[in-house]
Amino acid sequence: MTAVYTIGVDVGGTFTDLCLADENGPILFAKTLTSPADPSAGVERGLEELLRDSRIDPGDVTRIVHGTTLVTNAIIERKGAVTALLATAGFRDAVEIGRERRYELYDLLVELPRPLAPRYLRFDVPERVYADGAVDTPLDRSYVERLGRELASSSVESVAVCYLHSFTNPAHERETREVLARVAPDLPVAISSDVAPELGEYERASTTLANAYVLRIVQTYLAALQGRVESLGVPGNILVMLSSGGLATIDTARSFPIRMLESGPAGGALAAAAYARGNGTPDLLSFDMGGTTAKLCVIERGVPRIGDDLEVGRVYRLKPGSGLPVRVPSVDMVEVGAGGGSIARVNSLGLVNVGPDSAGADPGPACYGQGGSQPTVTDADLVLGYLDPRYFLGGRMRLDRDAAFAVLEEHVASKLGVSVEEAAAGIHLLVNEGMANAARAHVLERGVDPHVLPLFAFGGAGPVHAVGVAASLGSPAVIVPYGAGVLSALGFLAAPVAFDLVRSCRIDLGTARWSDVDELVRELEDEGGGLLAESGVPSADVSFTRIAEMRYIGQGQAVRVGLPEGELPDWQSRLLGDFEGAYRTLYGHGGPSSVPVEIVRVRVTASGPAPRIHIEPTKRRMTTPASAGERDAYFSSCGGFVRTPVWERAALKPGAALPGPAVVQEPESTLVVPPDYEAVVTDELALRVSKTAV
Amino acid sequence: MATDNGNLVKLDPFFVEVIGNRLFAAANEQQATLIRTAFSTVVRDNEDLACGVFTSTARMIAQSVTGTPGHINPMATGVKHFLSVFPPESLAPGDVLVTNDPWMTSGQLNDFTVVTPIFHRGRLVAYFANTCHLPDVGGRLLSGEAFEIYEEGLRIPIMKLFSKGEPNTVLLDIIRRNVRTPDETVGDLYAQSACNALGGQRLQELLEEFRLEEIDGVAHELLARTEAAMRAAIRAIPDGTYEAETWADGFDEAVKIHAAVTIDDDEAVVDFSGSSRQSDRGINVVLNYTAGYTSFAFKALIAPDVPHNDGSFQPITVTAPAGSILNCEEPAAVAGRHLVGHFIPGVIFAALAPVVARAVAGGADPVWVVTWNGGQASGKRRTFTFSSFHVGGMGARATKDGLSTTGFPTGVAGVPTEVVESVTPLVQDYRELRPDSCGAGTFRGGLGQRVAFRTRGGRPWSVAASIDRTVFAPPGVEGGREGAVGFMRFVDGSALATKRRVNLHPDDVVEFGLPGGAGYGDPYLRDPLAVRDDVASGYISLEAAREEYVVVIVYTGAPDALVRLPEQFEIQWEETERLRAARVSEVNVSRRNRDRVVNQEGGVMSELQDERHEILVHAVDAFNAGDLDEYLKLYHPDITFYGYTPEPMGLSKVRGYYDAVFQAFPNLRSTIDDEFWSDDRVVGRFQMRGRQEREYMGVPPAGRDIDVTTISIFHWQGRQVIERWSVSDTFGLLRQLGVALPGAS
Repeated sequence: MTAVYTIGVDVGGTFTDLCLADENGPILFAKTLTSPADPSAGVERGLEELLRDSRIDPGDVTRIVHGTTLVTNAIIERKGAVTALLATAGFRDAVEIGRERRYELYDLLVELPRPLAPRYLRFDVPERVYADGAVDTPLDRSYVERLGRELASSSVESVAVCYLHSFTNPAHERETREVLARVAPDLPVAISSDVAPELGEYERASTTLANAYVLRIVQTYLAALQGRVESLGVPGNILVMLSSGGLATIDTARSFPIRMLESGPAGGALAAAAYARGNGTPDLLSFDMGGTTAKLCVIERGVPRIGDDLEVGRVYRLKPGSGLPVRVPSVDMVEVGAGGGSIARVNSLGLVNVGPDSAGADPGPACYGQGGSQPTVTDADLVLGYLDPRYFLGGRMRLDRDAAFAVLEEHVASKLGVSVEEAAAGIHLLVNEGMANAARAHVLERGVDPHVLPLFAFGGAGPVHAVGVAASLGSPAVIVPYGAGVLSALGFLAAPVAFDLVRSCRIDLGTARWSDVDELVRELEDEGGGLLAESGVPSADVSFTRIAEMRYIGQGQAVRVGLPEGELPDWQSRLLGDFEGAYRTLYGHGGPSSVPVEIVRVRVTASGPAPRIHIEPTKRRMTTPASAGERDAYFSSCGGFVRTPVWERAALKPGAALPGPAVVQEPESTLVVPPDYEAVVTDELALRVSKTAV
Repeated sequence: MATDNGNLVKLDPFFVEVIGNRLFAAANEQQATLIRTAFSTVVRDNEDLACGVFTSTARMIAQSVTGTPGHINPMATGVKHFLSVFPPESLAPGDVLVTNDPWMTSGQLNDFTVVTPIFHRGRLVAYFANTCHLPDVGGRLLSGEAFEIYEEGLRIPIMKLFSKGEPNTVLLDIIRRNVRTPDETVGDLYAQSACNALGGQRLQELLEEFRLEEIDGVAHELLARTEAAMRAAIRAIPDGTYEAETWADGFDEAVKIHAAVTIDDDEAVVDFSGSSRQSDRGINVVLNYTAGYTSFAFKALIAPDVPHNDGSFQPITVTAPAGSILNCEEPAAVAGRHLVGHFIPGVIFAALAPVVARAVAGGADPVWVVTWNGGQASGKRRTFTFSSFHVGGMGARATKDGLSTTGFPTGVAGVPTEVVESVTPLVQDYRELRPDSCGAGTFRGGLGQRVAFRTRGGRPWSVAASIDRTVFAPPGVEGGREGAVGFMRFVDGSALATKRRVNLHPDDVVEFGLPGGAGYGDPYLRDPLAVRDDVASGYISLEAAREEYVVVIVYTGAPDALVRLPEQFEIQWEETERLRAARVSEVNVSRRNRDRVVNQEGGVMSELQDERHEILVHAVDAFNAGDLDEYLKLYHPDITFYGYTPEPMGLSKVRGYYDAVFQAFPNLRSTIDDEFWSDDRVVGRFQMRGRQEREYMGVPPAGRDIDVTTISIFHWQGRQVIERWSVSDTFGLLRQLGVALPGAS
């Protein structure tokens, strides 16, 4: 039997990461520069390199899984289509009226995100449906016809439709799509009851608009990609990573490109999930720290949590509320403005703030020597001896320790009257604390205890800071996987073909019949099953997860409870019991017993089988010799610098135990093991760091 | 992993920052829990709430990140009242305190403050508190029409809501029987208690982790640093007393709000004397609430990055005469207090405008709180009560347009239409931006909105609208135009009373127009392309473009077209320039703001005049900075200066003259209020303000403030002034310095 190969491709803003794997795990990684003008060209180069170096037959590649930042970038850079919005008459401004709130109370110059459709391209369509789905005013088809013809002959390239209460009664939106298909067949149309069938006209319209906005860009790109892959002789189908961690075929992705929004970060979470499933640690906190932000995500029972609330293009210090809301199923993660490039400064209180503004990659930290003049986290890490100035990015970049020292002195140490090393240690501590605070809130809000979750660290800066973050969170251990620099691409290969579907409803548990719930569930299952079939998953392989989101009537936030597969005689009281239990776990106390409970959303995940893949290397191709040197590294618990052994990651064998203080280097990152901690190389070549028993 | 954090050196700046951030994070978690478990839409969608953590002596250390100014500071001061009723020795773990007394907290019975003492190793170490607006508290529906507090609902003195973990069932029963929304009101009280407990738990974990016995030491360090930063920000404002006033619609008669802001080194006193007497209807403001919005205004204006905590409150004193509208006395009715209180930041910005530049033009100010009540055809209950919040436009900023439909100064927001319609029989016929509501300006105000309500209930219903800015328009800044006033009426245009409950017929339709923000800077200096885009987007009409902005635009597309793109709106450049030039020469005033002169089209100011204007402005800046050398560069070496001395002065005498002036009035500041340019001459009207610290013209210093007008003619040669004629109000100056003048009375 011939080998079966799969390739994961993660097109990031700067680099395109690729990973080739067989059924047992990854074989080879590649990294090329992203080609912004046509990202498919960079992918082609990377694929060529991978195929050449691995000497495998392109014909043996059965599947390419692909994720991209294309959608995010198109929205942030406002490079999408000229898009019109059709809204219920009187409500075309919902996307501009927005949430009516200043997300920053004290900044008089605060800005709000600009809607993707300007007001002159938003239209009042005569129609009205009530909250219960009853029709007040029928759709004025002649208006839509007229408008459609005018749009077709204008510069408008794409259309979004969002009517009030369409998630309850989508008839008018569907009718509008039909009319437009007839009078303006070349205009792509996205309707809100398809894209984001949920309560809340602002969020639903914003999501639908974003989907329509990127339709063309994504369609063009995917077609180009398909062409290039075929030209390389790879027969395998291309699957697209969704922000929910599921996969879709190109055809499906073409209709719902907005669901690709956060595919890269989802890949990282999937890698963490694959590790969790394969290594007996089903619950993890995935921690990805890069140059500008850190992302954290809870993995429960080997699966990343799924949420709905995304924001794209935050215009103000990553503040929630400063971006455009996008409601699509997505891996539920918290993003913190803390990365290697985060800038440290002394504020008006004589205290230090780190981030959220970042020196980015250009000019980057002062130690890059590219003109960065503000002290950053990387500068602090370098001064502390955690980074090797001659081995950054595997030696491809030299770091200037003197420059780092000088900016820390000028901007922090001298202002506080402390030594440069103390300032650097303080910055290191504060950035760790900032990430831990955000992580703690995120984890606890989901009813999970951070003390039981090992931290799964990756990204360029992740392993440098992981132990500090874990200490603040009280995590039991830190796990640093092998190949941490290209983990998203690897994570893609661990994803099942899957769709998450969600629908708003209002079902009073006290008076509901099972059929009320069942009808919705079936509808979603049919839809999900259909999408899976389109993606080539045989119906026998399809499995469903059913969840009800419930709350006390009148309350805002809902709590998730699993739904039974079929009707049980006492389903109501069971569901109520499960709800009360989950509520207590989340909030630490029960709700008011006199208040009735309702189901406000039903959520179904339809998935194909998860690929069995280990995320550990099967064939060791690294040949770098061990070079266990030493250098001075700073640890406050030692009172300053101590001689610290330096290990080459690639040379470490399973079972090796590295007592702290120690530093473990690999090209993309560096693990810092403080005193009183110990790193152990696992059988899968991951590093597991925990506190030394005392 | 056990932490190493216990090894941190206490009170080093990093330790203070770490603990401060942890407490801040705890307050944010507290708020997140409150929003997620609250029942009333007012709490969770409007975010009409505030959360915070306090020291053992009730000083607020940190507050959650959103919230609304009307709650934050009143809650901060309110917790001290709890302590005087329940001293620490009377409290035990599991106790939770509550009140809605307006004079103790945030000035309205709907606002419940819940305070939870937190214990660590048997000792009371801190309090967590939150305030939020509950949907109903009995009495009249929320409106301004009560005569006395007793009509406005149930008033609960400071008492225990939970005692050692056991709910006060007597109190809860009384509340249930007295409010229209027993489940929501009581549910929210539970949510308020639970979120405090969660905050307390975080604090206890923090104390364990850092092996601390208490939090006061590090908290006091943080508060001291905050106070110092706030004092530094105040010190940057020139000393003096700055006054402004504004008018609110009031209930039956207009209400005046007058503020005198006195800056004395690093302290500020804001005195609201001269404001109206308290009203006999429910629009009165308790001093706590007045102080809350005052403190918000200061922070936003001069120190947005300084944390809002008890330290930042210290340097600012707020006073208002007892019995006045901003410091009302019992039994005043107060339910509509925001209708007056929300004007406070605008008045303070206006008062400080001469000395603090980052101002905002007038906006819609008070959030509109509209309470609906009525029958419904179906559903569990036969009636519904619902408060909808509505916000108008924010005033333009010095460098940006104002924000449309965004709450300011309040932090609360409206509720989505789909939510309103799912939880009530109410239907909104439209909710859209209100064209032409934005005041014109170089930067225009934000737009208000239009909303129409009807009911599907098929039964009688009622509305009580606590709204304002329907009479007095938001004022513009530096030539910016007023924003549009708001309105509330039947959709057929007939009048509808505000601030009181009005019974409605099932078929009635009620329409609101929310006020728009005012403009900043002269409208005819707005970029015509920006005006064109505003027209294309329907923010302003073609008529407004022509009348207000003097930009002539013609629509060139098909008359019945639905799709009208910006390029189909053509600017008639020649006519626009001609009309703008005429407008400019009519006024023939170049204002101080350089952008406005430089950008000016129409050619009235020559390039050289523009340059000279800049030089003059620069010289005044140097004068205000006390930089005499730089100021004197204005004058030609051969200057002849007439007017101040019997003989005209040459340059060295001019230097001597100003040197003496600067000695006597070290903080002297001058503004140019008018410039009239003609060829090589400009006539300027200046206003000088300062305080006498040394002898001047034989008058001994008595610390008196002066405010004197000077009118001068400058004759330019090249880029310097060769001759100057000046007349000052010397009589007024001497009088202000306390010199007894013959015949003066």
